[in-house]
Amino acid sequence: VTLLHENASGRTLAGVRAWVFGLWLLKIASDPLHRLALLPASLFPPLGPWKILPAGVWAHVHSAEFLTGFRVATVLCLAGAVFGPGRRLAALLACALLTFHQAYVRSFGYINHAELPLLYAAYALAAFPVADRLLGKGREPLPAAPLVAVTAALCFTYALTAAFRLAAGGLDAFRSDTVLVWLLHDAHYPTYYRWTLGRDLLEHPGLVPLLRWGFPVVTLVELLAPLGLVCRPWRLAFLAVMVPFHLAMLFLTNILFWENLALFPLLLDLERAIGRFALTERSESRDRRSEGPGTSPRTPPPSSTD
Amino acid sequence: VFTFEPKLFFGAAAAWGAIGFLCTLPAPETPLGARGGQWAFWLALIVLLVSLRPVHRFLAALPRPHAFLLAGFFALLLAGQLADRSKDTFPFVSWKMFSMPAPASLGPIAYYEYYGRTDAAERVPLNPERLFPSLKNYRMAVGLMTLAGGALDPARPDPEAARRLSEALRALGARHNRENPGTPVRGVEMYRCQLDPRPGPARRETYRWRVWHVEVAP
Repeated sequence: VTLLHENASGRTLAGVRAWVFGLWLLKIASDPLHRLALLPASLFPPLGPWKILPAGVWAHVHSAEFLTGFRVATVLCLAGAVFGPGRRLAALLACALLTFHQAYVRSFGYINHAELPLLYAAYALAAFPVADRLLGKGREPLPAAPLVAVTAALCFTYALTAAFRLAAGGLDAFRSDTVLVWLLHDAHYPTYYRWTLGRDLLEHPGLVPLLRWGFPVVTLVELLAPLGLVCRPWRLAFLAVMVPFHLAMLFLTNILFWENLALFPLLLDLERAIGRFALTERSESRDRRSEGPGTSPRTPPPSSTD
Repeated sequence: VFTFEPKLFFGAAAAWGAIGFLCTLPAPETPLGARGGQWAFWLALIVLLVSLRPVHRFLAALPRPHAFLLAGFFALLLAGQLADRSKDTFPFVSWKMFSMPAPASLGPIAYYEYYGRTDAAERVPLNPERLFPSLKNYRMAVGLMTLAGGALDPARPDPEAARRLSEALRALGARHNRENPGTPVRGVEMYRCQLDPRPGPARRETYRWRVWHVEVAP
């Protein structure tokens, strides 16, 4: 039993940081936020951090000019967090702006969860380098801490969902057609993705029992997701259940948590994977060097002297 | 595999007691018992996790700033769930998904559809989330449905919800016209649809009736 990412290196942390902030960069850069100014401001009551700001500020937020400027500023900070020399500061600023962005897009409609694990990942990756600075000179930064925090947060969000489901609904949801009612209802919403398999759910007799029996299994796997931090077989079982679950949700109800799927590689031992990859690369380049120009690739490498 | 350190254990339990206090605060939807049940579950899970030797070893070796950061982050995550006041505590929210009350057996399903009406009286389907992708993942769909629920409440129609619904539908039309200047719409219609999924596909019918209509300025 070992803790996932316990022995992570700075190289792995740098890769994960670029991945997380890079995903946010693509997401915000491709989001036409300014269009929301067409909708009436009264549909957007301030939420979360926006509530802290004076009411006068909120009145200026809902304009195409402000939203465009806000998006550009967020993209610049995210680009700084991925590529820039002042990555630490840019990452902190990006997290602040992302929090306001995510609160803004949730002020109309309802508070969904799709992007939140990726937001928490950005928080951890931006905040732990600050803690490293507090250690003082001569102390090595701890790459394991933010990676454990990001992975634990991802696992905890699944457990939180399952715990709420069980606490609020009890076991009734698993004993009836409730899951079918939910899926059929969701499949008829006019949503961004336009899969229609869920509308014809009842025409697929094999699918109905699979969903009925699969729902408690998914809930159990979600509930115990944090154990994946220390148990490799459980991590693999989690992935084996949750990847098909997320894809099924897309095809049946047009709900896609691609942000979660993008974080799933964190449930693998990245250090070992990168180590293996680097070892293969090194041995291949050593082979190439030893073969020399004009040497046949079939020539066996000379025996090593080191 | 397991280890026990009283200092760490009682420290975590004290912090957990403080978070448990949040369970007693009034929350709009979740009953107190449900929050208490979750509190007990999380206490058990956290005790289990911190008692595992590799987790314990990792936590014990963390410098103080990192330990505070980690503990603070997860305390906020769990407090957001237990407080169940997502609009106030965002980004630390309660994780409700497939947990809303739903009928135990299949019955008629109601939903809304949106159409634009052109000058030639043709009906063009409108997809609100495609027109405003920032509000995808059901944010737009649920937002419009909530407004419709208020505006069309047979017992007590909400005039404010009605005004907002009209403005939102006009915005759908305006956005469509910007994207499709060749086929602009002059009005937007909202239909309530009802479908009983129980009969086979051959006998299944969807009933649609127009419940709202707004003009769109050219």
